[in-house]
Amino acid sequence: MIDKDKIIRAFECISPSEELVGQILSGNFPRHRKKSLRKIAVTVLCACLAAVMGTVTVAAATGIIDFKELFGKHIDLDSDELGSQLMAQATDVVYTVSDDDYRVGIKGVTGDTGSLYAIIEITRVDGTPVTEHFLNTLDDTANIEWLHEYYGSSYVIGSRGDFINDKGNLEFFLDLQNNFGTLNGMTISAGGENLVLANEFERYCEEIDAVYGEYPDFYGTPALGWWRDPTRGMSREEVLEYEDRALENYGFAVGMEPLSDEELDKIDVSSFMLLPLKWEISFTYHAPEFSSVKLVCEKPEEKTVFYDEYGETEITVRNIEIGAAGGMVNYEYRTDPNREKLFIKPFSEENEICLIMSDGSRVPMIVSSANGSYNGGDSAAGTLRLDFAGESDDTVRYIDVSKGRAIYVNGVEYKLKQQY
Amino acid sequence: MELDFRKAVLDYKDTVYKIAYAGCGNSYDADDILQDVFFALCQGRKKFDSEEHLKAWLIRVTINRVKSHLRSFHVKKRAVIEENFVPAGVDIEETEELHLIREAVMALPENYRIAIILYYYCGYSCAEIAGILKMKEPTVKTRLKRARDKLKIQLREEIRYDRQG
Repeated sequence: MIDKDKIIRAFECISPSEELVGQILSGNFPRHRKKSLRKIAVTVLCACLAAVMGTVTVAAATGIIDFKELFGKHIDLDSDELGSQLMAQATDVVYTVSDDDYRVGIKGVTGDTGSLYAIIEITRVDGTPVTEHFLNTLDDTANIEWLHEYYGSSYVIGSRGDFINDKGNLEFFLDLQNNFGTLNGMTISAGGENLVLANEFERYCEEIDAVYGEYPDFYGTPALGWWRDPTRGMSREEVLEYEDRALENYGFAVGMEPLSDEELDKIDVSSFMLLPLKWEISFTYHAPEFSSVKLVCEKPEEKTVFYDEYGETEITVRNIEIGAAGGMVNYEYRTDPNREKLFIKPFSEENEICLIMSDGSRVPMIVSSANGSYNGGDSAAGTLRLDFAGESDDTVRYIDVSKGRAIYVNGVEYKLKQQY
Repeated sequence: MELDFRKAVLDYKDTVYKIAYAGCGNSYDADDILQDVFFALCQGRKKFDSEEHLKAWLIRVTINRVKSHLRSFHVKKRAVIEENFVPAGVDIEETEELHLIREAVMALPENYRIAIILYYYCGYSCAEIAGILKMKEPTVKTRLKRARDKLKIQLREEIRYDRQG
C-alpha cells in the first residue's frame, strides 16, 4: 500500500554528504565533476533517417467542429449558450502519416480573424493508446516541431500543455496569431517527424548498448555522431588537471573527441534503424462569424491613468478597438526622458479594465502586452493588447462582444460603437 | 530579509538535494546541482522578502538547473547508476520496501518525480506546485494522479516479481 508517509520515508535518507555540505558552508564550491557513464538514457531523435520513410496520404475530410465539447479543457467559456455558438469550420483537412496504424486529426478549431486555436490529436486506428506504442514524450517538449509558415507577416506557432491526453494519445495545441492580417481562409500546416516507436527504440538502445559493450570508450549515436571521452580511465586528479587544461585552451571544461575515420569503420551502424512517425496536417481556417464584430471607441481623447511599477501615469486615449479575442488601446502620455524607465508597463493588478455589456454586466480584461514609443521631448505613446482572461494564466476567452457598450479603464468609461 | 547563508544551507540542503536527486536520478548530479544552487545564492545579490520567498527561489532555481542539466549533451549519453541509500533505524524488510518505493518513484518521468517530491516531501499544495512549475493546477493534479497510478502498477509488478523469484 503506497501512502504519503512511506513516500516521505523512502526519500528521507536522500541527503547530501556532510563533506559536501561542509565544503559549501565554507564557501568552497568544488567544480563540476561529471561522472562519465556509458549507455544511452534518453530518446534520440533520428532526423537523419527521415529520408528513408515513405509517407502515405491517408484521407481528406471536411467538418464543423463543436467548440464547447472540444475546447472546454483549454478555453474557458462564458456560458453554455455562448459555447454552442463558438464553432468554426476546418475544411480541406489532409493528413499524412508514415504508418497506416495511425491517424492525425483535428479535434477542434476556433478563434477570430487574427488568431486561431486548434487541438490536434494523433490516435491509433485500432483504438489502443498511442503511448503503448510510442515512447512517452510528455517530458520532452523539444519533441515537437511545427511547420513554420509565414503569410507576409509574422505569427506565432506553438504548442502548450501536456502532449499526452487522458486517452493516452498525443495531443497538441496549436496557437496561431497574426497581428497584421487575417488568418481567415488561410491554409494552416503543422507537423513533425520525431516521435519514435517504442519497440523500435528499445531495439535501438540494445544495439547501441552492444556498441558500447564492445567499445566502452565510445559515445554517441548514428544520428549525432560518435565521440570518445578523453577523461575515461583518468584518476580524479588527472580529470581535474585535464579540465583545467581544456578550460585554458578551449574555454570549456570537458571535451569530447570525435572518432577518427578508422575508428568509425569499426562500428557497424548498418543495422541501426529508428522509424519515426512522420505526421503532417493542414486545414483551411474559417473564423466564426461573430468574431468579425469590432467595437471602436466613440469619443477617445479622454484622460485616465495606468498603473505600473513606477506608480500612476496619466494617459490620453487615442483609439480603442475591441473584438472577440480581446482588444487594443492606443494612448499617449507625458514622460520624463531622465526617468529610469521611459515607458509604461501597465501590468500591475491595480489596473482595472473591463468591457461593460448592454445589460450592465462586466467582463474583466487583462493587459497581455504593451509597446511604447518615444516621440521626443516629454512625449511618448503606447499600445496595450488586452485579453479576456480565463480562469488561469494561460487560458483565454473568446466572447461575443456585439452587445458591448463601453470599456472601463481605471475609473473612466469609454463608449463603444460597432464598426461594420 | 537579511540572508543568512549558513542557515539557508542547513535549512534547505535536504530539500534542494531531494529535488535535484529526483530530477537527475543520481547523487553525482544532485551533488553538482546542490553546489550550483548554493553557489548562485552565495554569489547573487538577490533580496528575499521572507523565508518562504527564499525557499521558493531555491526550489525554482533547483528545478531550472535540473532541466538545463537534463537537456545537456553529456547527460544524454549517460545511464543512471543504481544507488542504494539505506535509511537509518528501520528493519531490513522495511528498508527493502522503501527501496522499492524509491526505485518506483525514480522510474517515473522527470516531471512526475519532481511533482511527487514537491507534493509529498516539501508539502506544497497543487496550486503552489502549479506556481513553482509554471503550469496549470489541473496539470499538476493530472501528473500526480498519473504518477500515483504508475506507482501502483509498478509496485504491484515489483512485488509479484519478488514473490515469484
